[in-house]
Amino acid sequence: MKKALLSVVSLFVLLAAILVINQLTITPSGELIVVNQWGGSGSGAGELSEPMGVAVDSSGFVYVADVRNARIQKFTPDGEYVLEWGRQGEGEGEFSKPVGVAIDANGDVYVSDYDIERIQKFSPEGKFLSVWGKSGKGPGEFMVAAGIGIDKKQGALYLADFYNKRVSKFTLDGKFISQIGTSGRVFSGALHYPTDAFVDGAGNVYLADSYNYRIQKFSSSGEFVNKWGGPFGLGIRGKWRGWFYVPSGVSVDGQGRIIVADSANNRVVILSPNGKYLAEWKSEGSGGLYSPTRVAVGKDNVIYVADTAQNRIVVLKYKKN
Amino acid sequence: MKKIMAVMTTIILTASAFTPAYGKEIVKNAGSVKSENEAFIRADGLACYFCAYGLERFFKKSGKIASYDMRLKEGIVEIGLIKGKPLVTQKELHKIVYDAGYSPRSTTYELVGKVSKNGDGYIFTVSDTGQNFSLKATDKIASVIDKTIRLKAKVDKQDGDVMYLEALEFKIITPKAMP
Repeated sequence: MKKALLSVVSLFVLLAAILVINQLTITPSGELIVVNQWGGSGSGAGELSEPMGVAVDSSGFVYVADVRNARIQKFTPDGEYVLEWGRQGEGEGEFSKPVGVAIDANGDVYVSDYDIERIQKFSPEGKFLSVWGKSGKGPGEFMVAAGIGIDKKQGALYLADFYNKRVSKFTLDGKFISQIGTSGRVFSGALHYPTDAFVDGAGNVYLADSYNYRIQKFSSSGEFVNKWGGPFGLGIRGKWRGWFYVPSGVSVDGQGRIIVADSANNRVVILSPNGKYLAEWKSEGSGGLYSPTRVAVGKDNVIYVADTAQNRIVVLKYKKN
Repeated sequence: MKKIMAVMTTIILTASAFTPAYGKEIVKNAGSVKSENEAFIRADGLACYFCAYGLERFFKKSGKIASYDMRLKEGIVEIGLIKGKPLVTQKELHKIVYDAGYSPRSTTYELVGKVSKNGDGYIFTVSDTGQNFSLKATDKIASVIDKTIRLKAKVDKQDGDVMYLEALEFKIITPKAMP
């Protein structure tokens, strides 16, 4: 009995020691610097009200889902306002809460809406092209399209189905192809309120498994590859190095680094291609992020962060690439 | 054994010093005409905008809420109740929060009305709706009988749609002039 107790205590001490050492040796935020920011609270051109989805096209233009203003705004890579479209409503080209934005190989823009189960497709100038989607729990139906990602090579769209706790794969015109992950905790492939999907150049799919507090990676055929966040990616929240607390947005840069919007920890975290913690941006005080929900990568691996609670886009860059 | 417990306590305290903080944002929205009565729900899992939007969606669908402020930092939803309509019960509020995917915890109400004596106990009458609620309170409340107060109360119990309140705090207020 005494031996068993000692074993448990020893294990506990060992785990605690690892956690403390991990925290004490955390890499400082100095790996990333802020190079630009734009927005500001409001509904005028260039102003933002709870920006969430962010995507960059092949020319470097930045598209922002401006949730409370029910519109999409397009900016130059430096943050100059270009154009906008959308207004509050349920008709074609209208939005209730546009939360997700993604761009296909032709530069067309796809927008998901939190309140209406549909994906709308627009030209890069904001001309309405098509719409699809159906509310429900069956295959190809969804309950809140929290985030979307596009496989440009395959021409497929991945949709983070928030309330059904799964990710569905569609053709770009909305035909259901397959499902990734099932509702659950802890186990590989189990999802709990996923909020974002990103597809890298090789077709690998990265999911923001927000309420399992982890990022999961799947192959283009939907097989589980890996999971990161907390001890062994089991899904325990925290602010330690390599832990997350509602990692709501994910993207991957040209070098395969995984960029995570660690929303409730108010930071952006960078992982290596195999999930090793590399760096983070978290500045306390007025320069800090509050509820960063989405990230996108632009040219030269510049990172665009939707700093949702502060109604702005923050642009981060690596000090050394 | 004591030594072991001391070591474990020290480790737990050390680790807890690094527990994560909630975000600082507040999400606001408004619906129909709000009364001066409010409800406050603490909900587990309410830590990001997706949760806030989820609750908004279910609040709107319910048609029973006038406004809602979500204090994500504290995990609290402040709910403005609809003017002239019966109070939404704790059971109804918890169902909305639960359906939205979150775990409702404590609920409190802040209500404007008057207290009256009822045998050995008290009755609280909500000014806006005229609803009467059985009120558990200390004798301190006898000092404000028939005066308009703002009462902070929790639900002592709920039988069906009938709520029994328990006073937590109260203060005398000047009633608003009728338009």
